Amino acid sequence: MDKAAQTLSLAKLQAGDPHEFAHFVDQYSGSVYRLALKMVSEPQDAEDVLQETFLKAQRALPKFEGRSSLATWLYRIAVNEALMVLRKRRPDMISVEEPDPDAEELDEPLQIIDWCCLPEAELLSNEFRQHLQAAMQQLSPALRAVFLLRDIEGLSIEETAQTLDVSQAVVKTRLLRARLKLREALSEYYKERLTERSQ
Amino acid sequence: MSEKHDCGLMLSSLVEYIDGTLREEVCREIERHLRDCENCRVVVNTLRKTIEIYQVTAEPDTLPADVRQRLFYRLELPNEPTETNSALAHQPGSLCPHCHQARLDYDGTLTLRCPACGYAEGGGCT
Repeated sequence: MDKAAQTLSLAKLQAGDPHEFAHFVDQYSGSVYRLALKMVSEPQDAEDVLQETFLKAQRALPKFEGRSSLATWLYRIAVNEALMVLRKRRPDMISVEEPDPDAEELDEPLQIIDWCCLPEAELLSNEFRQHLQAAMQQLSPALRAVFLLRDIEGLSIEETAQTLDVSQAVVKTRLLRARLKLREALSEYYKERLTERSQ
Repeated sequence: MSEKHDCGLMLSSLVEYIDGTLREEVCREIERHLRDCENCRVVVNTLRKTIEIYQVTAEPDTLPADVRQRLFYRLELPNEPTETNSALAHQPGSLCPHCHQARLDYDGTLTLRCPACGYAEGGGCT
C-alpha cells in the first residue's frame, strides 16, 4: 500500500483536489472494505464503515501531519469506525480495550492434530469458508483487528502498533492469541472431518 | 521439566519464530526443541497453515462496483470508470462480492445473482 501511496500527491490531497482524492479512494477503498467486512461481518455495516472512513479522511486530510503513512492513518480511522459499529450493536460487550485481551492467561494449544496435509480442495467449499468466518467472529474485536492488519493486510508489527495506538509488545501478544485461537478452531473442524472419514 | 520449559519458550517466541524475526540463537534453540517435540512441531505447522489458509481465502481487495458507486456519490467525487469497474469483474462461479457466502450464477435473465443474499450484477433482458 505504501508503494501505491508514492504515486499520490499529498499536496494535492491536502488542497482538496477531487481528482486526486478519487485516485486515493480507488487505491485504498478495496483494502478498507475488506478489513471492514471482516471486522463487522455484515456487508451493509461494512459499507457504512467504508463511507464514514473516507468521509472522515476527506475532512481530516488537511491536518494530516505525515507522522505515519497514509495507509496506516486510514486503517486507524477504519478500525475505529468498525469498533464504533460493534459498540452500537453490543454496547454492553464492546469497547476499544474491553474485554482486556492482554490480561488473560495465554491459552495453551489443546488440539494436537496434524491436519496440514489434508486436500486443498476443502478450502474451496462454502461450508469451510463459513467455518473460517465464524472462527474469525469468535475473536474479540481487539484480537481480530491485530490479525487482520498483520496477517491479511500485511502491515508490519510496527505499523499495526501505530494503527491501533498500542505498543509492539501488545501487538505481538494479541497476534499470538489470535493465531492460536484460530488454529484451535480449524483443528476442531478438521478433527470432526477426520473422525467422519474414519467411521 | 526441561522439555516443558522448552515448550513454554517455543510458545512465547512463536510470533517472531513464524515471522522469521527471532534472534538467531533463540531460533536455533527452538529448532533443536522442535526436532524432539512432536506436539510443538504439529502446533507450529498447523499455525503456519492456519495463517496461510486465511491469506489464500481472503477476498481480493477490489471494491464491488455498486459499493464504489455509492461511495463516490456519498463523497461527491467524479465517478470516473476504473479498469476494474468499467467491465463486469465477476463470472459465474465467482464468490459473491457482497456477502462472500455463496457463488454467483446466471438466473435465466443474463443477470449474475447470488443465491444467498440476492446480489445481482449485469443483466441484458428487458
